[in-house]
Amino acid sequence: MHWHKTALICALAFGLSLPTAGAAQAPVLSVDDARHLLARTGFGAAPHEIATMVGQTRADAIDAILGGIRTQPVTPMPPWVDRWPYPYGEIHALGPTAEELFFTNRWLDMAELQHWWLTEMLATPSPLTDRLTLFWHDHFATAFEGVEHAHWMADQHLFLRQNAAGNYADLAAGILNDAAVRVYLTNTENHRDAPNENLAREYLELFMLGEGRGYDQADIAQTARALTGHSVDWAGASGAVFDPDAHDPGEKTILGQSGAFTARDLPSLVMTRPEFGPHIVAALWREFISPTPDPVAVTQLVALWRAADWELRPLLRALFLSDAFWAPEARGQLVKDPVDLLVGTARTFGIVVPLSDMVWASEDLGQALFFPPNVGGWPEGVGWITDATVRARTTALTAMMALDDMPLPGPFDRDTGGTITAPQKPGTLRVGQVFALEAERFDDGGAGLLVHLFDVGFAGQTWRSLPVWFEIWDDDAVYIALNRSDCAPDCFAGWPFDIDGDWIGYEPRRGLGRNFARLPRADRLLLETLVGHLPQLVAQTRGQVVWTETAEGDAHEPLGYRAARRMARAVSEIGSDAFGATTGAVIFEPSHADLLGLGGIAPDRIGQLDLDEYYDDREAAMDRPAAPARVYPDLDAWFDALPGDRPGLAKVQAALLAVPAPKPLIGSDRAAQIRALVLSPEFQLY
Amino acid sequence: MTLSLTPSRRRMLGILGGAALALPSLAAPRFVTAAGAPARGPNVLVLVELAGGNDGLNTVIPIRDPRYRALRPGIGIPSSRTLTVDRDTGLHPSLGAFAKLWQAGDLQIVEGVGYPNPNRSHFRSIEIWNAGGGADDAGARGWVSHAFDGKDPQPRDLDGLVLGGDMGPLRGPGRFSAMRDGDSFADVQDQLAQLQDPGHPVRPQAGTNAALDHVLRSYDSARVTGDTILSRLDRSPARRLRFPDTDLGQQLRTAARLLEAGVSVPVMKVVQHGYDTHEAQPLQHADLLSDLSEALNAFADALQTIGLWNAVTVVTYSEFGRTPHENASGGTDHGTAAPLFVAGGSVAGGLGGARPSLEAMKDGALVHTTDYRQVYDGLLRDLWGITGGFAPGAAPPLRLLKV
Repeated sequence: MHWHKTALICALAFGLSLPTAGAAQAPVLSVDDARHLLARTGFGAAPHEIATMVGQTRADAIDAILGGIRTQPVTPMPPWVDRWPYPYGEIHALGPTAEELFFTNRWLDMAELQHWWLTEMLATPSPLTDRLTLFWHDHFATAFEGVEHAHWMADQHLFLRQNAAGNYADLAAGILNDAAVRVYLTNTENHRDAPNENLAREYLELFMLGEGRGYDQADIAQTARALTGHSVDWAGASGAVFDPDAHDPGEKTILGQSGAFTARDLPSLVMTRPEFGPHIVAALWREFISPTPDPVAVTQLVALWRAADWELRPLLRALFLSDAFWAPEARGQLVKDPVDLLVGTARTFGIVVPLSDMVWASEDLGQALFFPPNVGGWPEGVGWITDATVRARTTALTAMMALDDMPLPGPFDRDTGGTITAPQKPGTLRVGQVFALEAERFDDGGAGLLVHLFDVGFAGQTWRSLPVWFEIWDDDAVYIALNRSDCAPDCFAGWPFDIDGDWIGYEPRRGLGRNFARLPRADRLLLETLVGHLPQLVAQTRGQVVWTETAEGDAHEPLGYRAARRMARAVSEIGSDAFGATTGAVIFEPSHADLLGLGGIAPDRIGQLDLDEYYDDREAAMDRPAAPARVYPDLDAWFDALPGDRPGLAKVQAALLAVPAPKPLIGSDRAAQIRALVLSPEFQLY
Repeated sequence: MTLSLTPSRRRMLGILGGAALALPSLAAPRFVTAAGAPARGPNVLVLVELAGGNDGLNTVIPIRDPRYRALRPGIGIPSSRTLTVDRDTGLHPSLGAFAKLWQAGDLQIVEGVGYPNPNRSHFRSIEIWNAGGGADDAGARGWVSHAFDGKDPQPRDLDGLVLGGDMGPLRGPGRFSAMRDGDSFADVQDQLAQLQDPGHPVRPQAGTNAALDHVLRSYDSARVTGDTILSRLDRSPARRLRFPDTDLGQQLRTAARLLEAGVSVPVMKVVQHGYDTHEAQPLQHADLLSDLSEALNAFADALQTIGLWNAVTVVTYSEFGRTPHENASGGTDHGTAAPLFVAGGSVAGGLGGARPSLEAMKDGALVHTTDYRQVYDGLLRDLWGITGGFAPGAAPPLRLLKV
């Protein structure tokens, strides 16, 4: 059946009783309506927001909200988010104490990100953006403790924010390319020889179709095959990578279609199925309307959404305009989740809050951002309310309502540390840190060493890392390889020797120089400098903890530091024959402490610090007041800003509660009565 | 099992100031009560979280294992200083206050407790211990909430009470509550009471809105529970109970006071922070363990005075042990298996579990011998007759109590 799209949308609009353009008696919003729309599409509802909205038509108010959706936050993110990923895959070379400091700092990074996000939720002019971002964070639930990579968690957040009201096809595709998801759902272990179904199963079940809806175990197994080799690179700057050796290139049959599918094909394979749609629409219904989606309306909304090519804005607009959204029975059917309760209350009353208290409370109430309990996401609805959380919610609200006098925060501090300096002069290779990662002697007499040069500068360029592998077989036979992934596409573009993915290699020997003639001068100079100074580079790794395969029961022997130096000298001498003596120089300029991810502590200072004190200091630095977009100095000012001409407490009830609460039995002190309403069971609903 | 009085005792007495502080000898624990099964009211489990990862190897020390000395040249504790349990086993010298419990047979030391594929992140590993799952299971619901679901272990005022730290094992559905420093329990109670004043107007939408009904029920339950606790406390005069003036001591004082007042609660949880001893471990660890043993000893004394010690079982737990090898900062890093302590008037005293080998280690850390979920299953079975079913495979519940 082929209908014209516009006609379909119109037909469906009528079916959903949507108001049509030019309708003479479009309903205008009352105070209750405005509070309802604001609270459902944002966090709470402040008097000035309600006042602006009262008297508008539903469509106008909804279009204004949808028109305000943003793709970028208004609050500057912690500075590390924009910098190179820390040396997650290398830091262990500096020993367990540095590693511990490193990963503890990542937990603190996440605490910083929690502080930042709550600040953004308070300050944003588009709370719907953050509500949607939180919705997708719950939908594609990924928890830091299964990822342990702060940059990838931040990347995922920005991806969800960017696409929060975009097209679902982009979300469905992007989430498969998301490094944090790949780690969290162990697709890093999904190899052609032993497919791992974790991501495939959750993709079909949780992310796309809903449990058991239109797919079976065979589809999961085949989807897992399509996802083989879609892994991550812990050492490079890139995050998600494709490993062709681990990928199963064969034909798969997924949801009735056959082909040599990869991750790229999955979104359309699933989204063209008739079963796609209800799972997502029902979840949005439960988020915005009520815990019990109306199956008929869901079907209509899915058709509308499909006709809109899975754009989310038309779907959201239809949801917000639907009769069900505005029905009196739907009001007060939703339970505020902890973040909504905390942020919504602060925004509603215009309260400046101490951020760390808010972060702590969100965790105590069960919703630590970036830490959903599992891939299924957080509890829903009444699942949030237990005896314990009733007390905890009452404690948090009591504290917040007593915060009339918080000082206003100053501007958000941004540290400017960690800027990357260019090398002083051409021909100088600047290296911030050298990590020795593998050193082994092979059964047949050869030996190999892998070092990563981190924070590298050369010829006016800087890049995050330059992995160098070299091996030696006897006095003459040596081999050297570089990984150019972090400097691509600029490095070694016309490499005349071995190429294996991002690795390039060659066997240095006398007279090889002319083969390098085709390389750009800068590349040649870099190579010459690197090989010429290999012993110095290796000398930087003295005392590091080097991995060998021996520990895993292989026949390889560990290679000691002295042997590694000897090997580097041999490679350097033989290699120099290829170029002649090097004209370049190497300088070691320790990386800015922020780049190494040790929380601003230089590696050689770790032993001298009281780390507990340091952690406390770092946490304390995050604690600052955060203000909602509009601050009300006290409850009187808040009351005065309320619209409507109903007397006293009735005006408060309309602005505050979706379900009327009995009048507090505490005399006539207005501020006390307002506080009592905030502590009422009814305030937990919206 | 050989348990003998040891030469270290004299030395310990010397350190502690001699005969004035005469400690009971570390004789064999009393395995069997003379009069058969001890009298017991409703049972109480007190969970003591040692947050940060307790260094098990310097808590229960394999004094005759040369590998211990080799792994810990700097922070190892010489056998001459340990409180000797048997010829192979010494306790950290700061655990002197455990002597009385041990001698009375009220203390079981369960060795080698952990789980397969151990996670060495504080946050993840405590989450695993809290939920009662395996390394790859994920769940926000605590094992106690899970185990009590649909069960009615015993008449009670509430299911569980957290006196320190997060909800942890008590997170989730059930009548659980928190009474921590800063929770202003009485203030919250005032707020809740105010909402439910008798003669309060009827809530118009109750009965038509399922979410509202659930919220109202929860508020009601929280209020009733709080009222019960506070009124029991009001009606019961407090004895003078001696507790160390430490964070842990004060949490245990609260626990004792609640039990004294007749609050009927099957599970309470307390926390002691500070076990993440990456550097300068010896002094910190000594302070922590002396606080732990003295606070627990005071708790035992208090409960004996109150007459409830036979009904109480105290269990320590920590997210992981620490690395067997010391690090360059005079500390230890995140490890795996560790011993835990089970104390109480009905506890089967002695050594339990099995000691992990210092030879056959994995990734430089101990391999557990006893699954922590066997501890949970044993407690649930012996305290309330609940089949926990937390332990994987056929691992049986541990026998921790004299039953």
